[in-house]
Amino acid sequence: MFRISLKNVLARKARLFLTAFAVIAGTAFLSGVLIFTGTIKQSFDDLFAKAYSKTDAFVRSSNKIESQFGQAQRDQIPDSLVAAVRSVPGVAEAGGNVSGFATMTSLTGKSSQKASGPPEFGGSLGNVATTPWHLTTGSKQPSGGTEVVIDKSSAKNMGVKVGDQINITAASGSAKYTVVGIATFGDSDTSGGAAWALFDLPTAQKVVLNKTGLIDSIVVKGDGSLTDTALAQKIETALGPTSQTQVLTGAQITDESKSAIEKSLSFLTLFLTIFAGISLFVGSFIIYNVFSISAAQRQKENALLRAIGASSRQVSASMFIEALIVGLVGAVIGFAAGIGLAALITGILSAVGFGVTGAGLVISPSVPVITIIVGLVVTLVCAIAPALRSGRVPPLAAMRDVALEKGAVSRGRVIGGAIVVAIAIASLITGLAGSSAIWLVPGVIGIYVAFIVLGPIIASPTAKIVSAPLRRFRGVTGQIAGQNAARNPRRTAITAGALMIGVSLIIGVATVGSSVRQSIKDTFGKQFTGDYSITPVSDSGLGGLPTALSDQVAALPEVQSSTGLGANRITIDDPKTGKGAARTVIVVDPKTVGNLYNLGFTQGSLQALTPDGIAISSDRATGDGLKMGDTVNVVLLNQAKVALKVEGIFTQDTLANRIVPRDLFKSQNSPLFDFQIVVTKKPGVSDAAAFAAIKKLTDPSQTAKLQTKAQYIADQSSSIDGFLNFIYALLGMSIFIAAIGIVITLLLSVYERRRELGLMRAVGTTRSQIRSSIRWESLITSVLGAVEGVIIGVLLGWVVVRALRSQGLSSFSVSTTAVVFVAVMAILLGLAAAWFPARRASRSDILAAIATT
Amino acid sequence: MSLVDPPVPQTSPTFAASSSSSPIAPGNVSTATPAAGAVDAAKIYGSGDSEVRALDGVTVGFEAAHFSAIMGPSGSGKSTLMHCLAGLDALTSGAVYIGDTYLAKLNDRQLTEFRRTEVGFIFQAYNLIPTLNAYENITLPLLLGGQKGDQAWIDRVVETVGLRNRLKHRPSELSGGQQQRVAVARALASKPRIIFADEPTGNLDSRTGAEILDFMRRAVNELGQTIVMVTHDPQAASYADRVVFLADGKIVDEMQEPTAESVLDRMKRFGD
Repeated sequence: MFRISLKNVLARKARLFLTAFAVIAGTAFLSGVLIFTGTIKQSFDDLFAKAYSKTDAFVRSSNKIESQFGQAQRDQIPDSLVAAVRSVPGVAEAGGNVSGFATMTSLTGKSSQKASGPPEFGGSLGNVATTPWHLTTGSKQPSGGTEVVIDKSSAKNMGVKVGDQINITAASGSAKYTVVGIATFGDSDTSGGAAWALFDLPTAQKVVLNKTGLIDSIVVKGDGSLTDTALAQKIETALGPTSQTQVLTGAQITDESKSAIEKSLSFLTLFLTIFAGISLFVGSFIIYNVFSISAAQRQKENALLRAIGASSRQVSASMFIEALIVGLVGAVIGFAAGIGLAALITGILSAVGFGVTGAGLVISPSVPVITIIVGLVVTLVCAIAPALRSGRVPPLAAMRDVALEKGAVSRGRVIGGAIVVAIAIASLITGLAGSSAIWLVPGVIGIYVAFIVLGPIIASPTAKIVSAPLRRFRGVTGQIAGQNAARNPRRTAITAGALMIGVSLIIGVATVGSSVRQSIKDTFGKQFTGDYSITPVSDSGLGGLPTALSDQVAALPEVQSSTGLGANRITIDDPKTGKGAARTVIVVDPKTVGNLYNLGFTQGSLQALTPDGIAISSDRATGDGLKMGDTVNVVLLNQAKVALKVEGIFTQDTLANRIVPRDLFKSQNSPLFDFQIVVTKKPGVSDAAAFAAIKKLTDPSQTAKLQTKAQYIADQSSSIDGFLNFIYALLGMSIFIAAIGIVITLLLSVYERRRELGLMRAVGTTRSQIRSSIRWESLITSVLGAVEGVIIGVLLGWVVVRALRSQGLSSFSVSTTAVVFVAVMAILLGLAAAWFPARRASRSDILAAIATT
Repeated sequence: MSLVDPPVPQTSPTFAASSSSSPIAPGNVSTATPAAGAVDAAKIYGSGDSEVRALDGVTVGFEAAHFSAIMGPSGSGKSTLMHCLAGLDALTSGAVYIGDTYLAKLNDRQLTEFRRTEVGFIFQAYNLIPTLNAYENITLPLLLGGQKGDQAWIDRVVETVGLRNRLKHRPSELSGGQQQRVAVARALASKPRIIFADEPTGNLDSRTGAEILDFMRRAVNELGQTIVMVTHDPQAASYADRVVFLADGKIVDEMQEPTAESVLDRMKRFGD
């Protein structure tokens, strides 16, 4: 039987290719994602290995606040510890290190980064013995308060050379510095795509931390007399527990950094893998369809095998073996295509400034193994039903003319579909009624299943309805197209269903996105009562604007008031369990906040917050069982324990659930930043005059973005656009696969109908009429998929928006742009997908069609 | 219609030499003006040693309002001749014409339109589009041209083939004989200049076959239709006014007013 399968596969290379194509498209994405994330991980691993290559021991504060992503936030340590470490026997060299947020721009306003995204840091260059940085020729060590060394990548992007001046904005404010050197990180232009402004230690402390006498860590090089472990232990003993420090070996700090980045990358991997999974799922529709159709087309052949003595199992097994071959070939090619895809992604990323990857792609042996196993399993699962169906073919079918695939819809399908619909609706109602949002998951999945199960039932009448106007103005060509689309409802439904999935997800995402945008517009319009907003040009991490800037703005004669808004992380004890958990809080300055934010306070106010006060959203207060005057215990980064009193309850919680005064952090070492400054102008001052005055203040640093209220709200509501576009691009892959599915299904149908097409040609159908009828058939399928997708997508969006209503998603808005886009795309897709099959169909051989054998 | 051309020589030097002013072919054919015909038609497959001459210089004409049959043993080239006459296949050399039109002068689009308006077809099997009902199949060539057709004529055709109460049925709901009657009706519906039938009864039992041949006969007698039929069945050939015999790609004989017996006798001699 294996030889028959192999012969079958090889005899029909076109069919093998078509089936394999669906497998290839599905697995290529998966393989590409695995290779891409593997490459990123490897380049970060290399980065940390490089960064700590000269580090034998590493000293840092033991005070920290855990973070969900990346490394924990740590407190600073006094720089007096450097001398203490240096005096430990076995230490050859010890150097203090400082790093933090700092933004560089050239005097002409050019940014250090090609695209906003990779972080921008400032720090200490460190001494030669311990630093991973290499100064290029013509550079010198920075010294004194105005000299800086920058990474080579930033120098390139800003068009800056040694001797030029640049602007740097950090916690201390903005100032001009002279570039005295350009450094490379090992042999890379910079470390992991980030921008680095490097100073001597005292300057770094002042500029980056805005404090003196503090450092982040101490890098230690041993004299070789001790192992790293022994050295670290010795230093730890010397410093003692009172120093609140932690000493790690070079290997430990490298591993910790690696695993931290792995943790944040695993999120990216999961995210991308989900989309690869969606593509594969869509691909599985196509694979199933191809096997189904080819099983139907081979009915006669299989019946002949049965008639001459093959068992039902042998016929099924032959089909399975064929699937095995197709799956294997497809997955292997898919794996190879994934290499290309990963190369393409990294190429594009480095072209737009995210040059995070080092030289070449990293392909771990697990990638081909996973890709091939997944490809094989998906293909085999898709082949189960068609293979069993082939096996059940009665031997007598060999004697009959091949009948059309049964078009009738089984009762079981109707009943099954109805049950699924009922369950889905019940789950959705349960979920939305508020008992638990988890009910929405089976509800949404149920809707998809219902559409897939009921697809063939809907397909026929829908195809007829869609084609009814066609008949009017396209005559018999349109009519034949409509009937061809309706003649195999299962086939049409599955082809359209593949498209439906991609479209529904796009529409669902677009609906949620547009609702988020609308909510932002609504709530920000209400909450934001200032005239102008100042935000950092690059928005990485918690950093941003120096806190002094808002006071400088407030001092302008054209300005009535100005206040800064920051964010910070503290550990808050859960009032019920008493266990601490790291939380992000919004930091305000009660002295200046005035009425610049309207958060709907029901009790207390922002202005009235005392240094030991906290304001809590009403939802959070209810959730935690807190009321005015209650105590909330928090721990700051420097381990200071503070009992805060609830001094305000507010209803508008889009911005935050907890708000604390800036003075809470007075004792803390870490610098504070504002992520936004809100300004109102003095009454009587013209809009233009006020705007120009503030702009004059913010412009020199090139790092602060001044906007009017309207501009700011528009900007905020489009802030999710980049992320949405990223998701659209990922979902585009599944749309592409669905389009390939239409091509494949049409090609197989054209092959199946070659006699009919030849006959049509014989009795006087022109080639262009044949082409147009295939085009219309394709359009009917793609429009069917798009319509289903839009319906289910809007529903999906609505469910998500409803479920997130308590999270501040107050508006529901369907994106008409997305719907129009999908409609246009469906039409273009239908036309494009039909091109090749239509060409094939119009070239049907008339003589072969009417030949009697 | 621009399809009407003077009989300019096409591919055949022999034809050019004859320089006749009308497409009346000389030779062993009747003297009436033919509705269609071939002049020195040759169809060659392959080349060199493997060369096969399916048609080897066939010159033949078929009279209007007559029922003609083409017979011959299998491999004689009778189907190839019909395919070339109907514009479904192209000659290697020589010319075919229908009415005043030389088919080689037409491009694919013109040829398709010509087939739609001037030629009717009845094949042995697979005659109908499965997604269209009987009436739609009958009027398909008209629908393809965006025409309504002559309703009275269509009614008469439908009446003649006796399908009045079957018009809404799909081909799969019709018997083999009924399907073939639909095919006959389709061939007649557009009032073509000529109908080509390729073994129209080959898939039918003899009683149903006789019925179909009877319809074809009546179409010639009562409706004045021209029909050319390829068959290997002497019984079927006996319905024709004239039989042309083909062997090894050449016309070898012809017979007026054939009977089943006379045709059978002639056929037997091919075995010699």
